[in-house]
Amino acid sequence: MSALLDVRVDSMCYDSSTNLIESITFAVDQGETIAILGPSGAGKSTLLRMIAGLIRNFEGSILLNGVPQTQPSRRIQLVFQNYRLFPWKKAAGNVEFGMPRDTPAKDQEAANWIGRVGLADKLNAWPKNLSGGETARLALARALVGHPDVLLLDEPFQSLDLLSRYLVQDVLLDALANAPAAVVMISHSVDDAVFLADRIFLVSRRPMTVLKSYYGVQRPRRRSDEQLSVLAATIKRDIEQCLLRTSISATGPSAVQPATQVRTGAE
Amino acid sequence: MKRPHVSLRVLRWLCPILLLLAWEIGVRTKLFPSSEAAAPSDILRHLGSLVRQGDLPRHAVYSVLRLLVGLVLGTVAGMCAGITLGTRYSLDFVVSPTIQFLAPIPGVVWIPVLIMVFGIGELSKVAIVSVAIFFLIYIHTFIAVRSTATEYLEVAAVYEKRSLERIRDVFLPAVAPAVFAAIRVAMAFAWVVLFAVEYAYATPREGGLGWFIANERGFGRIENEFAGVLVLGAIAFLADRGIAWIEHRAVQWTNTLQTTLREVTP
Repeated sequence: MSALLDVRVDSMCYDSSTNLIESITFAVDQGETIAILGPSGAGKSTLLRMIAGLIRNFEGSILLNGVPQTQPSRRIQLVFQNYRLFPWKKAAGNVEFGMPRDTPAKDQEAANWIGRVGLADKLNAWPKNLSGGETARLALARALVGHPDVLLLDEPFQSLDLLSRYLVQDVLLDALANAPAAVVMISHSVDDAVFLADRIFLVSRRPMTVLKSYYGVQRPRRRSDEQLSVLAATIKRDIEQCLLRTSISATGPSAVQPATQVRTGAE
Repeated sequence: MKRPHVSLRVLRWLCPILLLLAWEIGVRTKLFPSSEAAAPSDILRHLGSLVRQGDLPRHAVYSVLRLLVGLVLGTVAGMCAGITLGTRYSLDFVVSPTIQFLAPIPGVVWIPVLIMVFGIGELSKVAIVSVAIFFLIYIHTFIAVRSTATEYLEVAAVYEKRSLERIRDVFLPAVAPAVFAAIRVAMAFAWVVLFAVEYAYATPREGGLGWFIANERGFGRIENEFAGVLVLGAIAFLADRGIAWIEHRAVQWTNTLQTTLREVTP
């Protein structure tokens, strides 16, 4: 039996010279969370946009329940990196936008979801008046209100302080417990990835391909669990070995490159 | 929103009062030649009698109606063109060079062309105002669509929103601030071309303010001419305030420059 989401990207390139993404294949089941860790510019966001149907010029296929996805679908929801809430809609309006047109009692459903993510008192707030954590929770509510099969998260905790980060993660786990979806998440934080994910992929840059994969620790989890720290330490060591050293050797003084480019690369 | 300090509000009224006072003194002391300028007190007296006769209000109503209809048509057409070309790259590729060629042509140059097409009636006057407004609204809408709306278009795509929902929920609100700014600029251009077309082609009965002002100047009735100018200025001021009022309510979500400046400057 096939998984809920099957991702197979043989190759993808913006220009014909170099592949941005090469040989990435994975499947995600309902209720499972995949985290993708890797350097900036690797193509992680591009991969999510491909799964969401926003990029179609690549070799491979995206299957949802075995059916090829050729265009964006509300069954696959993407929480964008900067959330992209509509500044001209209040909190409730933004969540209502996430519902299908024929949803009955949209306002009640929106209020229900806004309450679920802990923003009941912000129902009529403009997005510009929300904090970073509140914006992230509202974006999650908008994505989850339509009960998608797949949830794609593009660095959803990037700009949040530690407390907001924990709060948003708890809201996410609570929402997914009630409405399980297949989740693919991009993160720059190893700690976030090991806490949330069932499988973690460490990917390389140019071309992006999976270097290592890890299984998450048993659920339920607490942030203070020893096993999480052990897994995080393993991944951090691998990042050092696989990514940091290759990156230094590629841009370091020993590389055959002009000195000016070395400095640019180091920055 | 914080109200400006009382001293600023007094100064606000003091500015035009001082200007009128200086003007009055300038005319009374013969600093300004009486053949070219009338004293404000005389202008106000003449304005009163012109209003009572009903002449000036009638001309003002004609001008305002032409401006309003032209404004609505030009704005709607400019927004439609801006959204359509902003979102369809192939259409933009084909049509944009022609529009870029036409856009810098001054509004008054269109007058003979549109009179040739629509005749000397009301239609040509409204069309001239619409054309003067159209290009400004189009350019502002196009830029807003390309810079802002496309980012949100992806959001609409992942929620499978149809064309009408995209226009209502994404494009119109995304371009609204730029359109309001453009309307306020376009109004000034619209008055210029309307004045020119009324001056050149209107009839005494349905002349409009342009015809009235030019006619009074032709007969050397300087007080009446300035009374017309005063009414034109008052209407332009009220129109701008009206648009600002609608803008304030329609795009509440924006952090306007005015609000920001008030917060960061004394």
